[in-house]
Amino acid sequence: MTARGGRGALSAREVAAAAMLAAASVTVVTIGALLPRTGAVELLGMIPLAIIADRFRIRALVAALAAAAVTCFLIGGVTAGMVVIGSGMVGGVVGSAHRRGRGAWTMAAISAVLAPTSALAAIGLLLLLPVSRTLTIDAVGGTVVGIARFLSSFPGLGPVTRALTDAAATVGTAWWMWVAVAVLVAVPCAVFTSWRLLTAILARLDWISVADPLESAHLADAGKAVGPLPVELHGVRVQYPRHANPALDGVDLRIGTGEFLVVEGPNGSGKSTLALVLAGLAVNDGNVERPGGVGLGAVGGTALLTQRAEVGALGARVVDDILWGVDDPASVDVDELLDLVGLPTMRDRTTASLSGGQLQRLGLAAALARRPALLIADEATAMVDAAGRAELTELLADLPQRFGTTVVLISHNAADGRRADRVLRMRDGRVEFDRAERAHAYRPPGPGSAVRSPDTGDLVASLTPEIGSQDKRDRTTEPAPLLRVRGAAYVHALGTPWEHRTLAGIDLDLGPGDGILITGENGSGKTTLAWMLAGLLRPTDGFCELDGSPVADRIGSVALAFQHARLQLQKRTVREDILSAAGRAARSQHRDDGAFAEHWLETVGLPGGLADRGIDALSGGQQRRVAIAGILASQPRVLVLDEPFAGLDPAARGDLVATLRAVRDERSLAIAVISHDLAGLEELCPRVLHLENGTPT
Amino acid sequence: MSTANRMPRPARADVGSVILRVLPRQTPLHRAWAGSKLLALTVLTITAVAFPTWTTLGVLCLVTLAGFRVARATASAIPRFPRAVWVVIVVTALFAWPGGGLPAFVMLMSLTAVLTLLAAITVWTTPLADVAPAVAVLWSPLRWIGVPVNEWSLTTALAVRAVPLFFDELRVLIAARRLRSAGRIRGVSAAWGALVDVLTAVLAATQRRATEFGRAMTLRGGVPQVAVERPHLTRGDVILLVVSFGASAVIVAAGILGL
Repeated sequence: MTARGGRGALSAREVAAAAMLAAASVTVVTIGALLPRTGAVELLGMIPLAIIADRFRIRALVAALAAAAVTCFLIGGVTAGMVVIGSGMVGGVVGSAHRRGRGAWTMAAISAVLAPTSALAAIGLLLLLPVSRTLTIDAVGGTVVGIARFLSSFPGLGPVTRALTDAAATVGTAWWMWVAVAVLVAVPCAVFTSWRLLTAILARLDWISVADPLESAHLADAGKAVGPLPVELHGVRVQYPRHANPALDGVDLRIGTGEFLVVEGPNGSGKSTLALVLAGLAVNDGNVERPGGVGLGAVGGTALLTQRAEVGALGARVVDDILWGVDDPASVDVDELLDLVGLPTMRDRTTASLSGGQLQRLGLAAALARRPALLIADEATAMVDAAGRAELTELLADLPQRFGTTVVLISHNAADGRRADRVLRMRDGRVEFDRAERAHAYRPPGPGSAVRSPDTGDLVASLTPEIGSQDKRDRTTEPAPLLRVRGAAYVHALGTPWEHRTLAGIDLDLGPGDGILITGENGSGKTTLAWMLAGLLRPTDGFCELDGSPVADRIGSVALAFQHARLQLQKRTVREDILSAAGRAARSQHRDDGAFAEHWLETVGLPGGLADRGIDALSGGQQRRVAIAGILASQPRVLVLDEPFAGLDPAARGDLVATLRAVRDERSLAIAVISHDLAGLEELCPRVLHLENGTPT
Repeated sequence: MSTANRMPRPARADVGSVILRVLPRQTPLHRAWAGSKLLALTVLTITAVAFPTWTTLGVLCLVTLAGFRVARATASAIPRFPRAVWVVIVVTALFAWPGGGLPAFVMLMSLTAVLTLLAAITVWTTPLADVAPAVAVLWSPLRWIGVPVNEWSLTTALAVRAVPLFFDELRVLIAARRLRSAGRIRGVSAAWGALVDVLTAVLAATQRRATEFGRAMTLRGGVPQVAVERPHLTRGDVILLVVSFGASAVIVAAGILGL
């Protein structure tokens, strides 16, 4: 499945893929250039570029090479820049051949052409640079002679010494021969290594180049006069490939101008697909009628804000991001927009330094810069704290009166429906009800459990038969702490101009069966503390000990689940990964049990049938659970989880909390959870450590 | 309670934590246009590669020292390399010495160090956000020969933005491997398997990021035409360009005259 067709300028998808793969290549090559002369590491820079050649057009490869060369030259110097260009050539040829399904013979043929050509090019370049050439010859020749002299002091190495001395003598006169030999050996090695690696990686990872369906729709929409509203949906059905059930099934709907519509419903009910259809996604059945084009991102068109705002920021600075792709930047009052969304004075901040909540506010400002007729916010305030969320919902609710914009707000949070003109409830791809009402009766979350939304409460309860057992636990005898942290501080980049204190004065005790929640704003030092608790960072002051010895001396004894689960999963299948994570001791305990991986999958609430799936066939939420399953299988005594609930809806969040509670109580596990959001964690983590600028408050 | 844990540790900036950071200062070099700095760096690098002589090294040292002073950089900003790098260099030098290759080796190493320092000064004084717009201006003459400068510039802008994210991801990846106690690698085939595992993880993360950036661009109306803004050149830019091109001219003249 390739979408390599298409002529002319690169599409958004191609630009993004070229840029990201170029960045991956630059990272690898730069690291190779900064470490000791490890040509092997630099060689790996070919792989991302080969993927571009394999899955995209050559035009994308050329753009990626231009980007990579500039970036590499700047970070790693001239050698790194040349390496990345060379890598692009070899990777490009190998990738193109791989795309056509060619094998070892083609690679041999490629080597047979590429190696002599490269050798001639290298010799030609050295002929043009006589001073450099002489210098290199002197350095290399001298070193070889030196090695020969050194070896001559050992008896029995006479022939080796003589051969080396003779070789060194010829370096000066027959330098071109040595260059040719080196290149003729290196190029085939590079070709075959990258071919083997590319084949192995693409066997696991379908680096899909299928065009983004929304982009195809957007391109088809181009040229029409913008007119997204009023929009009418008649019997709309959307079926994703390889999915059993349709995402939308017979949806009828009309949305006019100036409405504030809230869409509710559990995960998988079709809310996000409805948002995409409103943004122009082609439907499988039924029809969608609008007076004009959707005008995605156009003035007076449609704006869609998605859940993952952290990648939505395209500009490097706040102001660049708001104006990114705006035809007439002079018409936008950036400061007023920033004021409106609650980001005053942030104009020149870099987007990389913003928190998740701030990025979502920025996304809203960028959308408003285009004065959209239709604004769809799909869980677009999930990372904002509760107070900010209410504030942004108010802002969204005011937009219909203020600018005549129609706002479609998709939300898990029933409270968002309060100000709605109209509430739409989705279930299983259908509209369950669609009511125009001012005072929509929403059920507030139950006391002490924000996860108990009407449709998930039962689920949570059924998964935690021991709810309430918390009270039965004997709280009078304080267990001896496993993990002791006293006066711990961490200074980042100590001794450099960028030195800054990320943590100070941390005191913390964690005993068996204990739970602590670590909260704080973005940049408050939460993640640094997580790394310190796991021993990955050694405190620059104070100490962090497990059973009385520094955790940093026994990395692995405190388990850490990273926020980005995919990077934690490093094997091909779920089973292999859980076995690898479990470690030898844990595995041997279960040697007789064929269902080791299944057992741990079920512990974290996943079906055991996932065990033989490939890691990359899983959804993001499943990957996070598999990572936790692997960690639990290693039977740690202390577990640190960094933002384990990010991106989970309330039901999934409730499930995970219940799982962690059950495991904690059953195994006397000590748990530290890092989360910006406290809701529903009181039982799992009775204690809270709040960080502000790296210090407890 | 161990006391060893509380001993002050030697100051050490590891390469990954300080790479691509701008020095928190306001200097004429910080204010200069990114394109001038890139041009200066490029022309000095090219002439140094063409004519690596002691004269060149001297000229480059002077220019670098001047840049270092103007940028108000300190030695503490220079990343500390792993000890293995120094061991490799010293051992090679020890072999080159008796063979008569020491002067050539020392010159090669010094030139590499000075050029890397020049690039570092550029990075220390140039916010990443300024790089792609400047490159777009420098590339714009290529439009006349049909080069798709717009998409090259966009790709560069996104790539430059993504590189720091990749450094962070690699840190997580390495940390995750360290945490897995069963991570001993024995034999060639195990090493190969581990390599494929790591690369697949990196490329899976790359793929997710590419999909998300592509979608984000579509939501903003697709691939835009990047406006090439005329840079505002200041006196600092003129001085910078005169100094770097002058230094390059001296290097070339000395090289041709065989000085």
